[in-house]
Amino acid sequence: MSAMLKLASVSAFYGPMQSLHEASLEVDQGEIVVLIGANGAGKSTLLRAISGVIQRRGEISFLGERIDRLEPEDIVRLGIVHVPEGRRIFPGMTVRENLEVGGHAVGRSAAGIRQGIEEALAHFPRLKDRIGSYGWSLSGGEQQMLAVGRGLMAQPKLLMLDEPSLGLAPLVTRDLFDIVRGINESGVPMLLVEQNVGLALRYGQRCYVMETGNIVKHGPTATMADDPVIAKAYLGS
Amino acid sequence: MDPIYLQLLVQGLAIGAIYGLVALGFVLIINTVNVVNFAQGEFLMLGGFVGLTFGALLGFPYWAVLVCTVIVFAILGTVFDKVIYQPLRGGDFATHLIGTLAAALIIRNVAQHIWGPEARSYYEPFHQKIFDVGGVLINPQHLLILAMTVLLVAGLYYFLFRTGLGRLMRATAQDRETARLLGVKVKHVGTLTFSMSLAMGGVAGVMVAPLFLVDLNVGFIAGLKAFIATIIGGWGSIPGALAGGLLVGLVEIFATHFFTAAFKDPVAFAVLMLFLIVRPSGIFSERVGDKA
Amino acid sequence: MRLLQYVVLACLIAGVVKLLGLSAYTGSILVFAAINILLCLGFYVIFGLTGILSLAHAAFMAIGAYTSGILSATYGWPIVASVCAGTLAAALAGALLGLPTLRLRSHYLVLVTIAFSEVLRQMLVNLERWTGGVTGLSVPMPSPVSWLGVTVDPSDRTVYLLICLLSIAVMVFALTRLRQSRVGHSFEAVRDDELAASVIGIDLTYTKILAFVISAALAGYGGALSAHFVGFISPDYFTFDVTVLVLAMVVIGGKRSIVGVMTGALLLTFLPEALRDLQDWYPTFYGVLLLVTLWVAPNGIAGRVGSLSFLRKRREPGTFAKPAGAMRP
Repeated sequence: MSAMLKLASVSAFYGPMQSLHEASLEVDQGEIVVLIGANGAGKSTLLRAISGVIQRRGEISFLGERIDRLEPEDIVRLGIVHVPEGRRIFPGMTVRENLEVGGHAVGRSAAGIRQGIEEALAHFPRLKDRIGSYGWSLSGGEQQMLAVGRGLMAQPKLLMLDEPSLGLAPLVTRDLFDIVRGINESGVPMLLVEQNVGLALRYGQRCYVMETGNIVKHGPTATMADDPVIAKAYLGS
Repeated sequence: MDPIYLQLLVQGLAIGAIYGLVALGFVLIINTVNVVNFAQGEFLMLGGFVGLTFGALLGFPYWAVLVCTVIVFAILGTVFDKVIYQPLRGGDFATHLIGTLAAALIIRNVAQHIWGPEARSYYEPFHQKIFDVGGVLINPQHLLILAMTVLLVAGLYYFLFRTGLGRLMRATAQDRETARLLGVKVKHVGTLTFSMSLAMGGVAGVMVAPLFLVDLNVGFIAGLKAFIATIIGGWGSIPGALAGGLLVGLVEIFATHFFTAAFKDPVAFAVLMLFLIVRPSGIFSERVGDKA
Repeated sequence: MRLLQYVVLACLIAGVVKLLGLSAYTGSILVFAAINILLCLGFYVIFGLTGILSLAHAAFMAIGAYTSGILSATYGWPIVASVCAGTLAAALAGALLGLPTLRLRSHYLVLVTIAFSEVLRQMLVNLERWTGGVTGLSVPMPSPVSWLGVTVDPSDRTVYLLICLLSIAVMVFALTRLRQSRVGHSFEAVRDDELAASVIGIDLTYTKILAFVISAALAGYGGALSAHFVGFISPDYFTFDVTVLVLAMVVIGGKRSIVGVMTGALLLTFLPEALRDLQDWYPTFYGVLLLVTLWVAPNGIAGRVGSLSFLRKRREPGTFAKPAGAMRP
């Protein structure tokens, strides 16, 4: 089965500095693929390279088409949605407006946006109560839900989440991840970057490990969980 | 109450509204593309000349003059975006300052060649008529300015808060990178911002022309006042730009009345310094969530 | 180079000019070029070295010019004394402007300096009794001096040029030394990273005020020199456009190097002469030059030329460590 998203020897640069070295990766239909590694390993950089917001080299294909020469706005419209690290919701806009922007950004119709908001609220009922509140007044968990909901407004064929658990309490994180899994089961494959390795291995099917800009290991999460190297480095057992 | 105060009030508000419109354009550009546009005042100057051309020279009716002015400046905005802003994108504050200053130089010089160095007059639509209403002298141009400003600001708010494109503009202003990541065509938003901003300056120029003369040199002072209004009102705040402009206008007019015209600009400067010392964040101090 | 060498060079240039027997007009252009160099050196200190974008240069020129002009014309001071007074007045004004603006962020600072400059210009217009207002002020030209049996007539263009060139010689020498000194490095540290500079113990207040004072003094000196050369001053000579022109000279020539700013001054002084028929378009020309400089050579002509590797100066071992990111000319 050909992969939905395929990276072949992709490198990325911040100015003259190379922060991603010839990474190769695949995401297939229906999967949750997790990307783990220490701070600064290059996980966010990899997502950014896919999204087209930084300088990149190498081959990136989505649904069989090359996307490494495209602008971010085209990549989103093809169906790759990136929910960035740190939530990054618009603080001066309400929950509703944040969601609307997610739809307007890709040119969705007014009717489509209304429907999209309903669907997003169905996934994240907690946002219903806060629909008129401004972004800056939301809690961390609510902001993260909003960020994911906003991403869903673009009707993603592939959803990329960057460190959704960062700064969230464990209970909130668990709720969030259950919802995320539900989204995946409804047919949206995901590329998930996570610092919390336990979470990553529990929710993902396959896993890539990154270190200083290189992918050093990959395989099914079931085998990874038993890998002593991983266990020692990240779970501290 | 002495009717003179009512007249001064109306006059101050009208002049203030002009400054406010220029400042609004200034703030939109600051918010969306993070550039301090030192050529902003020149578009007020150009507006007068463009209005003069359509109105006095080509004989268009007043409503058509306004519409054509908007169109001309919207186009100028896209040119400005492509020629001045885009090539310097990512540069630091000094780069944008020097770039927009260079633009101002060129605009003024070209305008001089098109329309000549002399000041001209353009008195439409009221041809300097003044009405006497029960002892109070009312200049209809002032009322027109106030009415148009209310209309333009209302239109601006409707656009920003009730339309999809307007929301995209606000989103870009609040977090350009994330907006880009969501698929917003931020380059187009930038171009639109310049078009809107220059159009506001141009229309303000048409409306203020009958109160003075259409003169090549007004751009500098107008830009300076708009800049002052922006700081007084609160850097990056849209209601602030308007409030700052109105304040500067009122202060100016009343200072001219109580002292002399020579004090117009020094008083505005004094107000600026006062704010910078006492309340540097301005009237509507910027809170992360309040950027419109 | 040592001071003596600069002085000799200045005399040589003046001598060559005298030998060439140029017309009065060309002589004037040369004097203006020299004065522009002095103005640019001043702007170099505040903007190129210290990174402060202060656009009040014309105001300091005006203070120098009017102080010297009024003292010599109305109060009969000898010109040497009035020029000194003018320079000091401008330096003082520089300190007075620098003080309240120390903590202002760049976009606020630039506005305050522009507004200050404009308000000052308006004051010159309004205080007619002292300044002559819009109609301007006649300023005495320097009279011949006899010294050790030699009569020198400063109103002779070549002699005036020599005075300007000697001033440049002294200033270039002083600034080159300043640049290599601890004070000079403080300036550059403030430019490159104010926070880091303060953390390593640089007194920001002192450094910034000093930059203001030096640049204002040079502007005032240049203003006074030009006043006594032309014989007449008016507020129109000190508009914001003048500051912008100096800014253009510095940016186009290269704001990071002394040679650069001198190049810029010379280029933009001679450009209108080269464009004789198109003089009306001069602002457009240097506006476009400015834009092109920003696009392709952000450090100006000197920056572009300096990046040609065979021209790059060899770094001497043992010089002070420069803050990270500080660039060579």
